[in-house]
Amino acid sequence: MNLGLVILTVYLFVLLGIALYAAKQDKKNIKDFATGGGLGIFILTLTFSATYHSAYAFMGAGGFAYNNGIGWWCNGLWTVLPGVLFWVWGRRFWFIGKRYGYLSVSDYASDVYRSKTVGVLVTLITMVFTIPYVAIQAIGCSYIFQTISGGMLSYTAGALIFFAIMIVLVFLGGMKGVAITDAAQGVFMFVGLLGGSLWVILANFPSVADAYQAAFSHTPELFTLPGPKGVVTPQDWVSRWVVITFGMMMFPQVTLRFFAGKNLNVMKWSAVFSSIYLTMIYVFTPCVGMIGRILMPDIAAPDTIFPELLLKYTPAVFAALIISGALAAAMSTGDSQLHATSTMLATDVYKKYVNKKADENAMYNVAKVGVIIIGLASVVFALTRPTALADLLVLSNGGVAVLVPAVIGGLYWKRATREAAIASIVIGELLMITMTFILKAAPFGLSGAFWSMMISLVIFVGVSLVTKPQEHTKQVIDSINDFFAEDEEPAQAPQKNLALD
Amino acid sequence: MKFNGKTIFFSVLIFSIIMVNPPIVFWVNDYCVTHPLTFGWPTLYLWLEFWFVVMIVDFIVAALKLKAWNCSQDAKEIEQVSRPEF
Repeated sequence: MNLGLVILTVYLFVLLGIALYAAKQDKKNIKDFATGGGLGIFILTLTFSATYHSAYAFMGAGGFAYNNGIGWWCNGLWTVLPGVLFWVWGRRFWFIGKRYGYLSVSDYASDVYRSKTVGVLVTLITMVFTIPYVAIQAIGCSYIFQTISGGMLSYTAGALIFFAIMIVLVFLGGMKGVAITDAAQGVFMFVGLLGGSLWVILANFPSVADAYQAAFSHTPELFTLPGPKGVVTPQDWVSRWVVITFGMMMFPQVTLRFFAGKNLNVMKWSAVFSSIYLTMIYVFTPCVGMIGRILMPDIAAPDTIFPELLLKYTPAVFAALIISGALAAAMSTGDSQLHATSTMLATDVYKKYVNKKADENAMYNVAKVGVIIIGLASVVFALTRPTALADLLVLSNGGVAVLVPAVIGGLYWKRATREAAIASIVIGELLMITMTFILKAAPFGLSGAFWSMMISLVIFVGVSLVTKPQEHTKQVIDSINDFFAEDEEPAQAPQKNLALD
Repeated sequence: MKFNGKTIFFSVLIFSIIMVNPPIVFWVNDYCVTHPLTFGWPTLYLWLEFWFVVMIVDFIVAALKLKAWNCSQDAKEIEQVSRPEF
């Protein structure tokens, strides 16, 4: 066994130890399995951030910068804005979670529109499109095991190891276990990505500026848009950040964290620190991608540029430690995704349609079986070796992004109706599938996912205006507005006071 | 027209988003063709990073100063409501 594999194995055992510790605090009921029983600022920040940044952070990001240059930093929009949305939207979800006992977004959507169909649609779509996203993590792990073992471990073996670890992590501790292991992995991936990138750069160039200068001399097209391959056009720019930013906020592993904060203060500061964490972690990533063109011009899979550079230009022990950070990025997202989708399976499918009398313990057990089923489906998908990680990310986000109008509309707009929610989700999803998979069309250069999201918004507004809203929708929104209204500041004339408070 | 803290927060946020999107970002890109590096770093990267930092600072200031975001609701008891069957 080589040194890299030894370090990776030790790292995995440490993770399992943390999960075991969390398991001792698990109360074996579905509510704690789902929400973790109220998380603090440190854990919530790191579990949200580590879950948000997946294998893409270590693999896809460097690969995209390698291929397309500085246009990759459009990415910054979907690292800053999630924190803002986590607070602006999340606090409203947090409140109704407490008031109405919602455990998931589909639970909320079904109730706010008084429609089982809406709930089923949200559950089905988020589950189906989470599977390719879990597969991204499995692919990332497979690459990591393959790279660090020098080819001793096959791609298939890597995917199966990922599956086994995910099952154990989620089985042991539920949300609390996932959150605590995420926090540990969040620290590890932050230090790993920043420290590893800087080491690779300084091992080859006197400074970051010298590295950029060399990359510019080698491929100047990397420094302007649309990049060497002409990919990052204005339309690609807009499609990419809109679909990913809003789509990401609809994934169950993210929405479940809306309900997980101990209180509003925790939610607020976790949101702020997440924006900082998610953005800072990428400071040196474009430089690594760009110098990869000089140092490894003929790499077969650009997605692996960062681990390959680490293994080639840094000491073996250090490289293995940093690559463990990459594994952390993949697994912290993978375990959260499996945990969230299995929770939905228990609360939104089993409890509502299979066994209405199921108690919390029964749902807890169903959730655990769900982890195995969904995990297996994801690994099978990963073994088909689908497209590049960045493209897979856009695809899975596009699938859930059409839910945004219906889900967020029910939080703010009293005129929103169940007919509008159903129409916007069904038509939006059909459009997304048709444009992306069948026609492969991108009218005016904008992606099918972007169009379907916009059209579903228009349908949602249009149908709501011609149909009758539910009284319950109004009651839920009123309760949110009442709860937050009391402390709203009065509007002031600009000439009197422009200060924030 | 009247302003309050939230309006200022969202105005700065939206303005920053506009600054890092087409057409502005592609106008900056035209400048970057002749000035690709600034202080040794990619000019376009610095432009984008500057506005992302503005967004984050805007968020931090709002979190610290906005009365509507002071989380005084944490002191309130949330009345749990049973959901009617449908």
